Amino acid sequence: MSTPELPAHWFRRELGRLVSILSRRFGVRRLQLCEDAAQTALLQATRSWASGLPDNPESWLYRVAHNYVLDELRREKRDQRYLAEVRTDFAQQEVNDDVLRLLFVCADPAIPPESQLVLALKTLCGFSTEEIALRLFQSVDAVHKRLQRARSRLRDHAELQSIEPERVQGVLHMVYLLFNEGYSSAQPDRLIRRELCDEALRLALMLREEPAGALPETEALLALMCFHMARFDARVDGSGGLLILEAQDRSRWDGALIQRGIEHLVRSASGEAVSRYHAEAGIAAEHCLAASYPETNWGEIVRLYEVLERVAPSPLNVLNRAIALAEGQGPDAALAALEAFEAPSWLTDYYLWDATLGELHRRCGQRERALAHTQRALASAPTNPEKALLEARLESIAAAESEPIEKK
Amino acid sequence: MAKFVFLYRKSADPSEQPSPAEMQAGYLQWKNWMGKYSKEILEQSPPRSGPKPGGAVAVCRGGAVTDGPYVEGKEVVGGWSFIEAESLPRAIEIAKEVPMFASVEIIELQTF
Repeated sequence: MSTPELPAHWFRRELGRLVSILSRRFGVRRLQLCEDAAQTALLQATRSWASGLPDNPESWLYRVAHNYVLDELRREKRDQRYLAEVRTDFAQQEVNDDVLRLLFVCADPAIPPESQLVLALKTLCGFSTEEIALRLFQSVDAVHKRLQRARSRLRDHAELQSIEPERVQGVLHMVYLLFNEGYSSAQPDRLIRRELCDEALRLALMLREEPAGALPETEALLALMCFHMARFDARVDGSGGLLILEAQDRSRWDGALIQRGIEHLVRSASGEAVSRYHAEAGIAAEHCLAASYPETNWGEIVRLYEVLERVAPSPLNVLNRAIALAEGQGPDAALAALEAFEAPSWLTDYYLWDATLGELHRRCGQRERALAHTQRALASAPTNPEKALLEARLESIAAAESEPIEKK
Repeated sequence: MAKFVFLYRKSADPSEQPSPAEMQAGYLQWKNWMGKYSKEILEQSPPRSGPKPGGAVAVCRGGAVTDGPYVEGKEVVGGWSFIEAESLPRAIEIAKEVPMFASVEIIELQTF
């Protein structure tokens, strides 16, 4: 027995793994029971393992959770028959990966897409209701209701027999959001959750192996993830601070991953449909392939944001497009684009909205407005590295007196 | 020296269970607690023991202590430890630092 530290996010990862394995064994109808069992086993572990880890923590957890489910099933007399039916060895089904399989279950067309995502984040990724609410701009209460409805739908309906092609889009979307959660977490002090990104990448690669999942969109999503992952480590400086794209050392970008991203991007260019993943992968590719920040092809990026706005409209696209406009055509053009746009209140309350306006005003030499917006952004910035970045920016605006700064 | 059993209770409400992030933190808190009281926490349960008639009982909940075996209706036992300490006040000190659980019931033991 030894007491090494458990890896970060270990409980989170194990929860998703346990729920996936148990729900495969006992059926998705039993999702709530499987979740309870996984929760119980992990809770036992927090105390039992504090004095020493078992030799094989994963199988310890599985045994405890598995026994919990069996005990509960035995308690329900009416389930005696079902217990006898529980298969001990699973014939290889169409979906080989437990987690991917459960994603397909969550992608039930009868469950609204938002609820599919909530269910996946909760059961597979081990997020608390509060964390999901924060991430999806929803109230805790709303998330709670979505979960209950999604679970009752799964409880009342038959098992997934095979991969249904109409569910692939939902699965792609969940993988995409899972990746985003890892890449830019809304949680303070947990900015980088590389593990979530790795898991999303793994799931997309598994999906690509399934006949129904081998779509151009899957390749585009893979390309997008590779391009982002290539810049993962370069986003932080030596002391854990966040570096904006402009300040990143491009030699630290992972060339092999960029190469893989390009291969996926090439393969994604078949078929007729342009998905949001195509547009976003294109934007990420432009960034990865530019020799330096000023040499970025901003015109192409502006165009790709317009494509993105057509296939997946979101006010966030307008904000991102404005940032590219500022680089390509100057801060005045970007400010004009933002001012002409009637942004919804959730966007104007979002810290990046004010951070962007602050930076644009700074470049236009409008010091007072730059200060006001940056201060507002600082007040609502979600993570410590982002706060630090904005504080540094505030100081530099304040130090610059009232003289105009690098007016383009 | 007196011996006590600590009964840990938690909420039975599924919506009040700790998140994986809280469990990750809880694991470290348990390690710290066990390290800090390694002399007091018994590795083996005392053989042939039971509640001591007229012995000390107390319930520790969120830092507050009540002197009776009174528990909340919606709580279930989630685990226990055996503790050796010179007095009930010392046992309460130790119980107050128990991580994660909603309440700790302290029962003095006697061996037969």
